[in-house]
Amino acid sequence: MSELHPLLAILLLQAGYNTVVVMLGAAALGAATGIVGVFAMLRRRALVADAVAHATLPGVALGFIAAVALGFSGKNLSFLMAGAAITAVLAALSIQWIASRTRLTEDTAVASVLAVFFALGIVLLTVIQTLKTGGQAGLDIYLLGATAGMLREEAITLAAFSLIVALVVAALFKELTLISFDADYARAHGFPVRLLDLAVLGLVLAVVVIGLRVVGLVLIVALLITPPAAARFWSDHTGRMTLISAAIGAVSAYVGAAISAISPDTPTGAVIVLVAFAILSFSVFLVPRAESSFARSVREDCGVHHDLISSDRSTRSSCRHARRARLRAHREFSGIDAPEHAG
Amino acid sequence: MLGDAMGHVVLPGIVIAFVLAGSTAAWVMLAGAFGAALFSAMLVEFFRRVARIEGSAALGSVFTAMFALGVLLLEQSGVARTSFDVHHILFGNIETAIWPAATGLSSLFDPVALTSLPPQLGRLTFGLVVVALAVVVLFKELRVVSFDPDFARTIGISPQLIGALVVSLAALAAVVSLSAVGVILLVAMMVCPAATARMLTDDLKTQVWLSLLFALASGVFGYAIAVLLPLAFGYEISFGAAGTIAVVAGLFQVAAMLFGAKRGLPKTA
Amino acid sequence: MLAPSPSSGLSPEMKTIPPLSVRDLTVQYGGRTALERFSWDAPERGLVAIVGPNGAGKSSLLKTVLGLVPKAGGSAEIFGKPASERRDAIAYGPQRASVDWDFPATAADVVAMGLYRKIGWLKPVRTSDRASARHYLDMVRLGEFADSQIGALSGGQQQRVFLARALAQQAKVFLLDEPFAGVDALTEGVMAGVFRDLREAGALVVCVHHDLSSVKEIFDHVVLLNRKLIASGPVATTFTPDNIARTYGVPLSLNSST
Repeated sequence: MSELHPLLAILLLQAGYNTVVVMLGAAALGAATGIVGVFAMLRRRALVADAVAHATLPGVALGFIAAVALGFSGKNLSFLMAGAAITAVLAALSIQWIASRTRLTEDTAVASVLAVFFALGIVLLTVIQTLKTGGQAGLDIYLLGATAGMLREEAITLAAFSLIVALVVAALFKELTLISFDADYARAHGFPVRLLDLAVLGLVLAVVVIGLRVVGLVLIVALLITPPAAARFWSDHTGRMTLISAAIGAVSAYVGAAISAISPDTPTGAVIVLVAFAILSFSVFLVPRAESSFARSVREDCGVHHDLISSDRSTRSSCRHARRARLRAHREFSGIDAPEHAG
Repeated sequence: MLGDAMGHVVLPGIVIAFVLAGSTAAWVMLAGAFGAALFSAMLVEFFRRVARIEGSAALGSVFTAMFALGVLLLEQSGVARTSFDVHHILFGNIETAIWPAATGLSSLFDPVALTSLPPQLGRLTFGLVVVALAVVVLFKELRVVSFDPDFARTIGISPQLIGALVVSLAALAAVVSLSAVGVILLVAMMVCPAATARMLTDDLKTQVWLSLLFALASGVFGYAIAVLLPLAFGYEISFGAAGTIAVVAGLFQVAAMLFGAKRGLPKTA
Repeated sequence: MLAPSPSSGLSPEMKTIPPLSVRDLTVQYGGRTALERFSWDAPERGLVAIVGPNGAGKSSLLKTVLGLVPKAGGSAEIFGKPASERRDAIAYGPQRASVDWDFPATAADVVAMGLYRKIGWLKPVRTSDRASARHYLDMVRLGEFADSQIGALSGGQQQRVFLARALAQQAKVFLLDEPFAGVDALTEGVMAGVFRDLREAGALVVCVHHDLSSVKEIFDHVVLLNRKLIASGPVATTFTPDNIARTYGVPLSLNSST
């Protein structure tokens, strides 16, 4: 009981002013990642986001080196974030280039870019460890996040950026939904799909860089994946799902920041991710959709319903279609064997 | 690309195994890692099949949560203070694999010096032998399952069984090499050499050999650079060897993508 | 409601230009020719089936006309201009397998997507738009499913959702990729009825079509295609066993002994 009290007190905003601001800032970040994550997931960009997040490490390290070289403190947030953004963009471009210009598949591109950029970051970190300046230890928090010791100004900056991200999504909501559902259709009717895709990627980059301080680059992708995955169980509407996802992200980050305020050694990112995962598990097991989709999968296995897996579906329907076509063609063209066709 | 997915599923397994085992005894850890890897794989399958969460989202949510759990357990259990901490798991620490008794090539034949070989070496050799044997013996089964799982099933090769075997091999490779190289180098070494080889050949067997070659070359060159470059700077700075090896593996891949004869750049738009 | 609305901007000059005109169109994928010097003028209105074997370039034709696939040569024009300048005159219905049906959207949401261009950038979907989406769902007899998640619909119902979305665009030219693939008899009947109404309203409907046996029942015109144009014209005179045999490369008429 005695251990629960401080947590409860903090969750109910009974902590000091600074802690409260930090928690609310984290919550705003969680909401922003929850919102962007919906489109990252629907547009199948979740793993790209992971690679981009890991690719911020060399940027953080370079930002540190640049800051020190120019006589600033190594922990200067602007330098670190600018560096992170630059290498993250480079990583995104690399993935795009590999996937489109070589014959390697996108997931190979994602995995190799993630590993190589992260490895480069580690090499740079080991270099930094041997530099004769202070503050190296401070870089660790960008791996797994830490809200402990965060300044009020930093939290307010986070919240402001998160708000901008949310506003951009709100303004483009209709268009983003369209390209996520049916990119070909959108393109056919004159929507700039490439540009909108870039917007999604840009939003992902933005929340990743903003989230480094709180969640850390190793686990930030979880805040883009898990809240939308959980929210999908609660609604069949893109709009409502996005709001729910934002709420789940906010709650996770809020609780994570609160726990971090009590035990400063705990990596905030890990707590946040576990809270989000708990909500996802709860959604999977307890929300009606889980049952209905399970029932649906059983029905499909019995052949009553179309399978949702596209290849199975098209094969099955085109088989049936082909059979019928052949029969009818037989009748009409007095025994002509209509040639095979398919989807 | 199987390696990537497997690498991701296996990672949290290892992290948690470190904690649950509480010791560095390799075989206890191995069992723990398998258990956790199996659990992750089952959870991902459950999310995909029953809960109908899209594949990469299921994978992503499970592996980040498992990893987060591993990190928290590390912090809470105090193991972090002793032999393993988050840094070792993320970055590896290949520099600890030294052979203090070695004085020259002759040490290879000196029984006394051989007893002080770094323990990682034995584990890594064991892992190499098991993985190599499995790949040689089951090459044709691996090929058919990778290409067309449904067809494999019709000729009596269970894709699940082979899939489980690949997960197991990946887990084994991960566990034996983790303390030496860390999880990120692990992913890099699972993906980059294979991708490099893919750019250079259309034949699976050649790809396996080339992949092996590039992995070896990355290790040798990467380590050499990590050791020699600081020398050039007069020990002012140091390079993490594990990271350098991964970066070299990445450079090989970039070169192959730029100049690969078979599958390199010229791709009709 | 089916009549092309004034907003689709049919100027007097457009009435004299063919709605769809393709000249020497060539499409290539990685060195393989999917479509070779294809030329065709669509009729002013009516229902056209594009028929041909697998890999004959049927979908490529539609996608190239729409500008989704780059062309290697030739031209394709809608009322005398490339599709990029005639977006409001065209409605596209992709293949059903091309989208993720587990997407968090209801049937009404998907139909409302047909109104997005009219609604405009940065503006939200309003209640009146939703009501109009329901109206189009009624036309394909899916009114009661307006609030169903699209994955819960049957294959035929999903095709009708796509058709309703195309109707919502109030276009003059409909380009539909296999709208009849894998649908049941009810859906086939409903869609054929909607097509007849569109023809009466003066629209041109071009469908990639697989079911040879239903061509005569549903369509007025046919384009027989196998990488090159084999034949085109009214179904009655063009859709002959001889032309079909030439399209599919099988001497069908020789097999008719049974």
